[in-house]
Amino acid sequence: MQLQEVFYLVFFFVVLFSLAYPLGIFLGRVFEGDVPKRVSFLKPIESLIYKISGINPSEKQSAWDYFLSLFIFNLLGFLVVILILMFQDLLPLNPQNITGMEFPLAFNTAISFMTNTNWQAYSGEVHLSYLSQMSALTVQNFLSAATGLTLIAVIVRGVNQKLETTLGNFWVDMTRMTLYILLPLSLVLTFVLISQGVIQNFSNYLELSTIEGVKQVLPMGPAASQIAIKQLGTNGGGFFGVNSAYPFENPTPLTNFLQCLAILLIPVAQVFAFGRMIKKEKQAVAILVSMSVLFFTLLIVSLYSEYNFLPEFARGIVPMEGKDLRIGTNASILWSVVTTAASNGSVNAMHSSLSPLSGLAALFSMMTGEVVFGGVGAGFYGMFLYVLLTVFIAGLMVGRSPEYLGKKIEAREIKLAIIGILLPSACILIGAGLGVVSHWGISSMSHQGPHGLSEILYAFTSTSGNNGSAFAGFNANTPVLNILLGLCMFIGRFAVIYPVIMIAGSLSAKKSIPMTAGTFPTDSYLFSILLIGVVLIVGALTFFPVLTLGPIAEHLAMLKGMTF
Amino acid sequence: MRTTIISMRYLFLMSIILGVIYPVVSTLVGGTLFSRRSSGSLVYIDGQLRGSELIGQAFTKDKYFWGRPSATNYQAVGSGASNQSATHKKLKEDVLKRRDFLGESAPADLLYSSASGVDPHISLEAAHFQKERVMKVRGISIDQLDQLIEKATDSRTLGFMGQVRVNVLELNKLLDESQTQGN
Repeated sequence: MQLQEVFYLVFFFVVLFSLAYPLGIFLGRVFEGDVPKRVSFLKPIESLIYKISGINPSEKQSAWDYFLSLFIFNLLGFLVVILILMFQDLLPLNPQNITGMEFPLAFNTAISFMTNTNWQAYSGEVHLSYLSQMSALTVQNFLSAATGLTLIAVIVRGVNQKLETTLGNFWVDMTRMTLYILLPLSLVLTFVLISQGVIQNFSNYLELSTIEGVKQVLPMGPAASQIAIKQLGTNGGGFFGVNSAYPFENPTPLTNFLQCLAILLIPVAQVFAFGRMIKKEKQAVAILVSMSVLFFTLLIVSLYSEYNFLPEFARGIVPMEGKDLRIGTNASILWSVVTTAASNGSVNAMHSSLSPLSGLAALFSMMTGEVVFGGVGAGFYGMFLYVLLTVFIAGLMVGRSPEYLGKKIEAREIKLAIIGILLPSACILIGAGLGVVSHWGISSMSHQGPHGLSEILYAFTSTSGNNGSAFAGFNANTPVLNILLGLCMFIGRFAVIYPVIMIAGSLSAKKSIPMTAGTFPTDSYLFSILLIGVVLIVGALTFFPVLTLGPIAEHLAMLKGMTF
Repeated sequence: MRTTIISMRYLFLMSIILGVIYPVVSTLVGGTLFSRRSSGSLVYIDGQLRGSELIGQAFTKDKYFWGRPSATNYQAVGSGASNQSATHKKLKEDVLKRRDFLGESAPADLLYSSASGVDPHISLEAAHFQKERVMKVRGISIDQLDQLIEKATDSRTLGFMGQVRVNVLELNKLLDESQTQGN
């Protein structure tokens, strides 16, 4: 690595944290209904939305009602997306006369965007009309991100409230997140992206004769507006098939830097927001420290492997397979770790062609449930489950009943947390396990040997973790895989959201107990270390065997000069 | 039931704001402020549309600089990568074949295929590596060639972002232009 490249990484984190802190405070204020002046001109729109939709913003919902609103609203969005995709040939804004999608692919795509996964079994410029991109997918990019963010407010209320059975209003939280956070940030990013060359138009595709006289068709479309929210909302679904590697999506080193930054901006800010809202910033810092340590560990493993473990035919020069030149190796690796740590899933280099241990780093951070900063909303609420588990284990070790932020953690909370942690993992292992012994799994692989296993493992991990990135040689667009991976995305999303809301409801109904000398402090470095330990141990115990057979076996085979 | 009705109204409203107003406003404002950029940074030669400076093209003739290998031969709709890992037989074969064809000292970006399949750039080394061939075919001086390469080169943004890179389409366009003027 050259000096500039090291500086790039350092600069990235300095900018990230210095923007995320003020944004976190802003986010906290918006959640509390204390809308900052800068965006208060949007307030009439907020009221108008409530009025037209028939929402009473002062109505408070119980945990169950909150979940029901969230679930029904998401389900409806899912149905509308399916319909738009299946009948896009009959709808306007389809200059290329793209045909309607088949049901299995539409089902998969609709679940994928509803659950903030943005797994893509289709290729944007080939399979989607402009209307589908805008009114089906861009909308879900916003709404799934806002859905995730509402859970932060829910957790905070669960912790802050005493003996209360309500958790706030889902519609109000949704609206505020969308209107005051996601929309303004997206607009700003959209214009910056356009200024750099990301396209934004409604033209027909352009057919031309190249300099050598070959026919080439350039895809067009309203890309920038979707790409802005795709990154900020940790969605990750590309406007074009090759995602953020496509120059119309990511034309310059600057857009690459800004988009990578946009992926982690809200995930870091939301932890600061949590600290501010519970009025104990040190608690949030303890969680951030754990996340950062895990992140840098993964980044260093991935960088080291990519620069040092080379196949023999590379003759000591880092391979450029599946990387674009303007982006380069270091920014490709940074992005691969960022996008899998957050549940983003957009890619600017092809993960399948990265060195095996870089692929492992990407896989592992998805397997932990993307709690290293994680997705918008999702990263924090996923980590919250690990926090409860850590407190519980610490309590067992010292023989005291566990507490977190003044609330007793009891059997019900731990049972729910375990459901949220284990169900997605079960989807990964059962799905990939079935895949390697079935025709529908094996026939989709594009590699023999251990990388074939990694491919199918990656597909089930990415969908169950709601990430969306892929080892893209794997052909996921088959009816069986579309349905199975769709179900994984569904379980990966709602089997975590449901327990989180129920835990928050149950915490909210408890009384608050004062800290005593015997309380295990959760704002200490000791706690950060324990939390890291729990995340690593749960991940390692669950997945180490399969990781050994996949990426680790491939790594060893590569060093021996083997090919398959 | 009440929740369902609220959901429907809310979704409809949000679809208008986020799915129509937001992209349309972005298009109108972005298109006005940055019209060349928003419409694809298109390249015209003699009034004819010949490409986009952001999207690479296939160059195979000896008189042109070649771009990076592409798994989908530079088709811009439905483009893709090989997605092959280092243990894939085919990747090793392809790399060895390319090295045989280009020569032992070929730089990495000419040996390995790109991510987008339409990577518009090559490295500075890859441009200089091909100079001799182009020089022979075109009978152009090495100084002139160096000047054109420099013109088509972008350095790292702010000195540390991205890579030093040569835009292949621009370089070849400059080459053609310099010789029609010369004749």
